[in-house]
Amino acid sequence: MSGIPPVAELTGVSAGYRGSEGRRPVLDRVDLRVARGELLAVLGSNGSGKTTLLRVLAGTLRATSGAVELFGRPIGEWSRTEIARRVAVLPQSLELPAGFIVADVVAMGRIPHARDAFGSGPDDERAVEVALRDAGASELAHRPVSELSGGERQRVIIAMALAQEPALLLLDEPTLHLDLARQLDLVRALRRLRDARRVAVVAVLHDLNLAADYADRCVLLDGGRLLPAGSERHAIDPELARRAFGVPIEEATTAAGRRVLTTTASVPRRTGGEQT
Amino acid sequence: MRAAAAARPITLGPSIGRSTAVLGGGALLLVAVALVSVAVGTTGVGAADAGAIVLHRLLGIGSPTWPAASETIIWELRLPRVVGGMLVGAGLACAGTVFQALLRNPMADPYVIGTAAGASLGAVAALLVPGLLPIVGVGWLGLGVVQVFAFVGGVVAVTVVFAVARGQGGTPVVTLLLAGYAISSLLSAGVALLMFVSGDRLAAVVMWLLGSLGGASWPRLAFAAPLIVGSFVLILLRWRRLNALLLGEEQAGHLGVDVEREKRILTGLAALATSAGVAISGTIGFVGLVVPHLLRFAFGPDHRLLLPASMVYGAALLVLADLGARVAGGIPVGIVTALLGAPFFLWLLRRSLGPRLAP
Amino acid sequence: MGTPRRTPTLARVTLLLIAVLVSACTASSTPSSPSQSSATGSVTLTDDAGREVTLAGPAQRIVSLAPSNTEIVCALDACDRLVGVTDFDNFPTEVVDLPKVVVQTQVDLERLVAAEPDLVLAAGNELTPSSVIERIEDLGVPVLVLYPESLDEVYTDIELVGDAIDRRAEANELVDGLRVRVAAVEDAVAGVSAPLTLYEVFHAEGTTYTAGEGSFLASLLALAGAEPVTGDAEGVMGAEELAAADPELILLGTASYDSALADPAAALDAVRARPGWGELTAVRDGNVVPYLADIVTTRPGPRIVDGLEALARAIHPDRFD
Repeated sequence: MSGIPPVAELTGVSAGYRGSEGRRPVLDRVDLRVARGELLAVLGSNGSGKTTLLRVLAGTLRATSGAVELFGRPIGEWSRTEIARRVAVLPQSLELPAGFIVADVVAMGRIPHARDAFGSGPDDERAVEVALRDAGASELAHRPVSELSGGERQRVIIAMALAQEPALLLLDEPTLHLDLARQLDLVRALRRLRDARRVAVVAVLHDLNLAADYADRCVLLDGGRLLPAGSERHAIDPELARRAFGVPIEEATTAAGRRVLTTTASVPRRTGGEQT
Repeated sequence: MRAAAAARPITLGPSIGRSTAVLGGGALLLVAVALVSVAVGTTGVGAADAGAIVLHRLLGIGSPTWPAASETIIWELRLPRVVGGMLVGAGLACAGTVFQALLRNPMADPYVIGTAAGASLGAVAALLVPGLLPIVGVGWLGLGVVQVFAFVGGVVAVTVVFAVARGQGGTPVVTLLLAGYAISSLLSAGVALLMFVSGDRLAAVVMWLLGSLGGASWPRLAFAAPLIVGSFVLILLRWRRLNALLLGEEQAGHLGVDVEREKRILTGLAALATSAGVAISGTIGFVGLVVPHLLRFAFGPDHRLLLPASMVYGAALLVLADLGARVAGGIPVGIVTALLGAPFFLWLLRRSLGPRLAP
Repeated sequence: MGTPRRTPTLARVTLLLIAVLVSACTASSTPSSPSQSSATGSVTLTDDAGREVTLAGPAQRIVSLAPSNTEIVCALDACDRLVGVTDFDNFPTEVVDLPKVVVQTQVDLERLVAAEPDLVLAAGNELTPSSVIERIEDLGVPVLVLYPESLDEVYTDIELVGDAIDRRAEANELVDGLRVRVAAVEDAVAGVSAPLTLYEVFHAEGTTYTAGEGSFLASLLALAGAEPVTGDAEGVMGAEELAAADPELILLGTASYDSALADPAAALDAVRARPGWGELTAVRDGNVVPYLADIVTTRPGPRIVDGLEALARAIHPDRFD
């Protein structure tokens, strides 16, 4: 391997929140390595610690034990601005302040790169344009944020994160509110970013197939431990997934030859009444 | 493939034209109001004389063709009042804007974390016990005892509130608001108690609490101006961080803002400006609460424009209110700002709520 | 193509503001009232607040911030030197036409300066706020603070003003005359038993405002041959304390302002109707006297002796013709 340090490295990291001492920590001795340009999908049931993992990677939550390194340096040595120039976070939910237009909200992603006191330079404008295009929100640029639908808002927030021109992108359920077409657009855009600029992406996803198809690697959070979700052959192992999610997972092959995972737990069509 | 990107080029922030219109308009308003204010008073000094006097004192041109009393009236009485009104009005409006963003609470005003209560307690104590501290005495840095105690009281109160609200993880905004409320209540009780035992000083105490620009003099302005203007400049430079805070503390942190540090710095600067203003004029209400809302409603929440606009329009508003107060017979300007502010606020409320209330 | 940066208009505004302020501070702020530097004719006086004030010469343009001060100046035959009074001034009648420098107890500095005074007679005990006194002095006008709390102090104030306007001889004459009249009152009521007397300054909601303990008014009542009922230091008295004191005679100072109380029968009825007052000795015996001279009894100027005489006549009518 070359001497380029990984974008992020967690070694034996445990983390939790105040008031939870005594209980098992949310993250329990987690090891993770994110390489440059790697698309990593994080899977896990609700409450399994996915958001906590992203917070530790972003530096907003301090690990209670273990080592966290960004680009080869311990995270404690980074200032908030330094982190923000390299790492962008898409939170699970974010309310956009009323009264702004989309372009100005996306432009807030340029804050860590701000140089002069009052102006926005041509660099900023270009970055905002590119970010909007990559997020599939170019036509929204001049719309007031209070008029946006859920999906539109999601794309704007993604654009804001992209405007930071990060080397590491942390996305917490980015496909929320997005319809199928736009979900595909998003993951394709992430692929393009990876290809063009070696941006590393850590994305929390619920859609197993999307994760399996588009991520380079999938990991699973279960009981605070982090483990690879699959193997060389299959990105996601159905048995691991079943254990993690608690529902039976079945593998199937579509007519076009693609491998898909689905849950076989069934919800009866009719409730109550006749027994078939 | 999706359709081509938007045809309009992206410009970020308020355009030059817009900024000029907003700020230029505000500056014109301010100048107009200031001119009228200097020319109007309870004694007649001709507008031409007034202008000539100002030019003579500022730039040394012209020789006196006016009575000495007129010069004193314009230069020692009216002009300090007008300049004082500008400083205090701008300071209060700017501090109100900062606190509303920082605390993410539309009801926040410059006094919400204890400045008014602390300054009032200091001032009232000084009013009731003359010779309280002979060391301080009259004429410290051009200020009287009352002004010094008011300023110190305001600053100390905010420090206490911040210290009380500070926790291990930082200073949560809700805790700050609640601590501010609690400490203000405590200090206000102290003020009420002092008022109860004030005897024949009660009138003086009430006058101070109602707020007035009558005490503005050049030495006092020389004290307050650097503090207020300095705060302005430092706050203006932080417009991006204030915008980011509108996204919430966590996301602001992700954008590189050191939120806890910003809370300390912004609170400190806004409290300094507020306390300096209160030391000159007593506790004038409504300006710090209403002006930011009005401007946000008119010009949007982007602090790059909102902050300078709040200074300019806040200044104009208070000078105008003081003009009204003087014309109405010398009533305390705090009454005028309340009379102006409350209906404006109600109107604003109805306009912003209107569409949602429709069936 | 680059987009032009947004001009820092605010920077310009800030600089302009700073420039204005800096020049304002460095511009001379010396007031421009005429000041003579001649040593002859200058006089240094000590006023009731203990302040030492130096006048360049006898005052020729006087502003009075209290009616009592106005009356002193006029009693010294210098009414024509007054250039500003308060809106409460009403004696002598000619002062009503003078420019009003104090409106609703608020000193209007603009009008004060416009009157171009060379002496301001202020009221003590913060009746003229000390901040206002400082402002006037900063503007270059000397201020004498008057606050007499006894007859002797009234005499001293008359002499002080006499010194300030070079009418000391007239002042001495006035004081001598006042002393004679006071002595006459003392003689007239000597040896007569002093009734326990309540002087009502004001009454509202069960609280009575009367002479404060050790106050000027209390001393006047004593001189007029009464034993004054006193409230606390501010003269406040609650209904219970009043019942406990149980005065034999009640003088209604409020009748000076409320014509409904001017008639003795009507006054008695009104007073009896107040809760708890019907049981007072004075009320049961019908000794409730409408007192119409409150103005002079509570204004500490030369006419205070008129007030003393009115009090004595109201308390001991049989000792005066």
